Amino acid sequence: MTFADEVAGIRGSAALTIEPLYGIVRVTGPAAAEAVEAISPRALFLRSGQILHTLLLDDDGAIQADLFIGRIDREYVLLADGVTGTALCAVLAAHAPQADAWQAIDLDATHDVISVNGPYAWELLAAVESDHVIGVPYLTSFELESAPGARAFRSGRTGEFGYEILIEKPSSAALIERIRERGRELDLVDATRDALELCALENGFFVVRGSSPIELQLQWRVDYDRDYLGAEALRRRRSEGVRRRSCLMVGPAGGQGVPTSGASLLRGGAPIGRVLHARHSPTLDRVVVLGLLDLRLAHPGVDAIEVADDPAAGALQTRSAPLLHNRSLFLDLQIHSYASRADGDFPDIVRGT
Amino acid sequence: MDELTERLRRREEVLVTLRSILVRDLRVRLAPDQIDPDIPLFGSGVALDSIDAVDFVVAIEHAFAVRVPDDMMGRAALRSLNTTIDFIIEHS
Repeated sequence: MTFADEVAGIRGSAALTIEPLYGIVRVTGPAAAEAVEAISPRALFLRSGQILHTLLLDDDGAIQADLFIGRIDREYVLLADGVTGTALCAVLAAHAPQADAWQAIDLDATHDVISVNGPYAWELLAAVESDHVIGVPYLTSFELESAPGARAFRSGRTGEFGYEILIEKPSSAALIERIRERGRELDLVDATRDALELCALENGFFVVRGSSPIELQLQWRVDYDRDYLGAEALRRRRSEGVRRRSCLMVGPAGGQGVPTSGASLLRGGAPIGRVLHARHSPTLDRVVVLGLLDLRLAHPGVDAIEVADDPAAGALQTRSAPLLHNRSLFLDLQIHSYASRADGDFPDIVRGT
Repeated sequence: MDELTERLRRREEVLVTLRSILVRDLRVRLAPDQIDPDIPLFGSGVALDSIDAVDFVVAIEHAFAVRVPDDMMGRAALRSLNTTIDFIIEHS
C-alpha cells in the first residue's frame, strides 16, 4: 500500500485508520457543562447526540488542538487532535470552575477511536451497522447496535464522509475485523494519519498548532463575546487588526519540491508571507502549500510566489479552498453506491487549473 | 492600477457584498470579519441550510446579475465565499 493508494482510498472509496488520532476525555457530573464551557471557544448549545467542532486554545489564544465536543445525555466526550487525554484533563483542572462538581476521565488507555473516511464511508458503516446510518446528520453521534458501548461521531476533516468510532479497547479488534470484512466490496484501504492530514490540507481544514484562529480562517470556531481559555488574548489580537491570513497555494503540475515549514514566501523579491505547512498531493500531482500571506495578497489567483532559497518548489499560485471536487459533495445517498460509482455524472475530482 | 491589483480589488469588493448578504439577509450569527473567505458555507463553517441556500442564490443572482445553475457545478461554486467569488467573477 503506497501513500497514493491511501489517499486514493480516502478520495475514492473508503479508508480505515486505527492509529491513535485523538486524546479522549469524558466529562461528567452536575457541572460538566460549565467545565467544558470554560475551555470551549464556542458556546455549548448542544442537545444530546450533537457535536461541536471547535478548538482548544492556550492562554495566548494560539491553537493547541482541533477539538470535537460531543454531548451524550448530561455528559461530554472530547476528542482532541493535538493533545493527549492526560493533557486535556490537566487543562480542564487548571481552568474549569467548580472542581468538586465535575470529573474528567482520561479514556486514552481504555478506549480507541477507529476512523472511517471516504465518499462511501457511509455505505460501509451502513453495511456494518444498518441503513439508519445513512440518515445520520453531520456533527451528530449515534450508538452502534452491532458493537454495544461503541458510539460513532459523524465528523470528518477531509471533505469526505467521516466517522470517528469511540469504542472500548477490548471490543475494537472485533469491530475492525467486521469493518474490514464489509469493506472488501468497497475496496477499503488502510490510511495513516499522514494521508488524512494531506486530505485535510487539500480541503483547507488543516489546523496548524501554535497558530491563531484569526489568521488561520478558523474564526467560525470561536466566540468573541464569552470568556474561556485564550479568549482575552484572542480579543486583543482581533482588536489589533489582521495583517496576514492563511491561503492555499499550489506548485507547478508535476512539481515535487516541498517547501519547509517556516520558509519565507516572496513575490517580486519582496517578502509577502511564510509557509505554514506543505505536502505533495498525489491526487493533484502538485505540491500543496498552506501559507500565511500579507492580507492584500491573501486571495486566490495570485501567481509568481516563490519560496526563499528553494527554487525546487517552483512558482506557487494561490487557490480557493477546497482544491478539489470532493466526491462526497455530489453523492445522493438514496441513489448512488460504490458499485455504481462509474454511472454518476460527477465532475472530475481535480478542479480546473 | 496593474491587473493584479485590480483583480484583488474586485475580489475584495465582492467579498464585502457577500458577507453583507450573509449577515443582513440571511441573519448569519457571525460578524462580517468572522466569515473568513475559505470556510465552508454549508454543514460546518457558516452552517447554512438548504433554505438558506435558496435565499443565498437569489441574493447573489440579484446582486451580481449571474445565474447560479441548479446542478453539481452550482453546488461546487457555493462551497466557500472564495469559490463563490471565483464563480461570480468568471460569469459576470
